[in-house]
Amino acid sequence: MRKITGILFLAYLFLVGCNDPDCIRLASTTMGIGFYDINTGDAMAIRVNKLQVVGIEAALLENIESTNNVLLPINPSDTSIAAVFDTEFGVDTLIISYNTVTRLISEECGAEIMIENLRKVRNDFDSIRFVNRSLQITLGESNVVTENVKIFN
Amino acid sequence: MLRFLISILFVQASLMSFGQSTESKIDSASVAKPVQKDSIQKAPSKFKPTGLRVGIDLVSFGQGVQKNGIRALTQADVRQWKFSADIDIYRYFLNFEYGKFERYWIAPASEYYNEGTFIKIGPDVNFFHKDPKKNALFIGLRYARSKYSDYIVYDYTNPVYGDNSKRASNAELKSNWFEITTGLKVRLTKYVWSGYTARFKFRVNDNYDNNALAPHWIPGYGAATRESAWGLEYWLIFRVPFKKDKIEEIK
Repeated sequence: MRKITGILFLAYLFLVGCNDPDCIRLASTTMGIGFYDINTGDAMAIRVNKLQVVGIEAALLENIESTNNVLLPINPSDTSIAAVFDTEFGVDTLIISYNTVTRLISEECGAEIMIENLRKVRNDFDSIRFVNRSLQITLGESNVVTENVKIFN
Repeated sequence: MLRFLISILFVQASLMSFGQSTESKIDSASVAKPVQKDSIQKAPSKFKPTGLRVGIDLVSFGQGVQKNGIRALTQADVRQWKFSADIDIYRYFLNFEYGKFERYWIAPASEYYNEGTFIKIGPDVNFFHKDPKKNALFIGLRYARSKYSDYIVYDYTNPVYGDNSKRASNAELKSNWFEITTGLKVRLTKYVWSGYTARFKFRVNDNYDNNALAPHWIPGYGAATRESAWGLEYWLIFRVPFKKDKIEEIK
């Protein structure tokens, strides 16, 4: 029995340290917003004259003839984002607050910031709906940003 | 599960008291029959503990040394100590474990620190309880609790908002979980024993929803993101007998 305990101890020493997870990052700091028809619920391309985010000097978008989605950059040091949409439907403000959660992935991978618990503070559009309250990317060839908010016009 | 563990402890306690009350009844009945008195009094209760074993885990100590060399003794970025104590009650062991954990994770552009303590309590069933040398092959259950704190300091780069640095922390976190254990305890010398405990940890609960920092580690459990975990300790054990052991007589 003494031999068994000794062998098990040695075997365990070989296994110690082979325990680190893969460096898979799914967190994103970009919010995906899609435009939809309020009557049919289908995706709808609209004209965007200007898209401005409070805190960023330059406009994110200007004179875009037709798009059915936009991406908003989230500031991890802040707790909300305010965006002003000048579209073919008029000027609408959208303010969304969020929580930032930090986690260490591993010593090899470092830390990542997760933006979670998206919630509406102000909305001037006809209607909005949260479809994913955490910012994530879908892993693949182009790591697509997941849609978070549907805006209905 | 906690109720189950408590129930087991109560059953053990009641078995012990049953053993004692049976003994006292026999004593009073034997007054009228002095011939039988001596022989009955000499028979010890099988539920009476025969000794206390106190152990220190060599694996947690070895992990620090493997990573940092011998300086782990004084200035490692991983410091972990685990102690155990058990007392035998017939074929059962009542176990208490205590551990202290402290570790720095130095990662790219970030540093994470976690520090805390944990306790584990629960019974083992010994399948070698008739072994005169008191070797043990056991399975058991544990209820475990951990109290800990952590913080992270990190830099990040954002293409729109620029570079920045942040700090997030948790002042007081609590987690609890259950464990199924199995292992061996082997007598080396009269007072020194060694043994190992392998454990499967599950049903972990915590109190850190919506905190700014998601804990990376739970002291005594392992990676906080895992729903179950495995563990192994290799114990160096010292046994304090409550009376002169029969082991020497057999020897």
